[in-house]
Amino acid sequence: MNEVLLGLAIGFCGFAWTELREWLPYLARKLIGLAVRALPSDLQARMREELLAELNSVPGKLSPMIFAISVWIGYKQQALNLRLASRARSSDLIFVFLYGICAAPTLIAIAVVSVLLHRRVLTAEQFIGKSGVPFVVYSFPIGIQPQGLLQEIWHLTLTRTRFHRLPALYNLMSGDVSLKGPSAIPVTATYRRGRELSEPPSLGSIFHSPPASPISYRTLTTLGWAAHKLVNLVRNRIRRLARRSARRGGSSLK
Amino acid sequence: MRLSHAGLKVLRVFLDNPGGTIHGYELMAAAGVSSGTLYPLLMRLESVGWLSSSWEQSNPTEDGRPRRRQYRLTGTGQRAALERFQSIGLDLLGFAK
Repeated sequence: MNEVLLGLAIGFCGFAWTELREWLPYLARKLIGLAVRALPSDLQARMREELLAELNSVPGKLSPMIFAISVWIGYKQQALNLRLASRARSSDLIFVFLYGICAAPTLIAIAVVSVLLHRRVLTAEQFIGKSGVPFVVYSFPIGIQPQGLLQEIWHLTLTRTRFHRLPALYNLMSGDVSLKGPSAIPVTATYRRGRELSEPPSLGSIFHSPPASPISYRTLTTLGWAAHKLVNLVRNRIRRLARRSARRGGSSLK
Repeated sequence: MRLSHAGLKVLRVFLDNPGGTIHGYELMAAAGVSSGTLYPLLMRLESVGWLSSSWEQSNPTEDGRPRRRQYRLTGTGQRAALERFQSIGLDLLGFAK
């Protein structure tokens, strides 16, 4: 009885495999049709025809199915990457809109002071963008060699708060940079290192990149130097207090 | 344009056949990359102008198979590919498939 059942099972498996092999080319063509749906509509017809022609060149019956599955996975992954990029772009635009509204008075005030102190509103600096294409980042002038106490204090205020990088919000709006991404590289440094980015650099790294011509604090006047020291002193004092309170909080918990 | 190892392998095949046209399956076999990697990559290379493509001039009824899409490396693509290979310091002849 068992031998009969075993024989029937083997026969059925053989029949099922033969049947499946006959169906595989048809299923592969169906899968190609599904895969191209992940592409932009203007490319779908062309890619369907191209891939079906290629499928015809693939020998065997199982290999076309493997070919089709691989194409399907590849296009699904590509569509997912595009969707993620579009989602990131939407969050960038929402951030620009909200932050732009909040920072508008500060932007106007800094622009006015920049004109009064440096006779210009913006300075330009080049960074490397996605796929190695350079883009311009505008920033408020901080003065290469600040002259006079006012310019020195202004320089310190802008560089400490990073407010001189606020116009980079425009780059976030235009899509040159994103909220999340790799570190920005100045153009000169990129060409030297031969590096390239696969996605837009992050806005944070633009804000934290040093100015193209950083001021040497040795050139500051006595008062400017004192202001610089005072800023450092206050900052370190705040950090020390924060650390101490954190330690106390930790010990009281014990 | 940033390229993966598969991208470099595909470009290498084109550089080995300067001016020649290659269709997808042939390219897949020559470069040793999967179809899921190859076709999205070909689309990217074509969109940046490194490759151009056209339908082959044949009669499907006479040939007994559908017409295939053929790819060719453009002048821009050739320059960019050579620059890329030089910048990463890979010898074109010695670069392993």
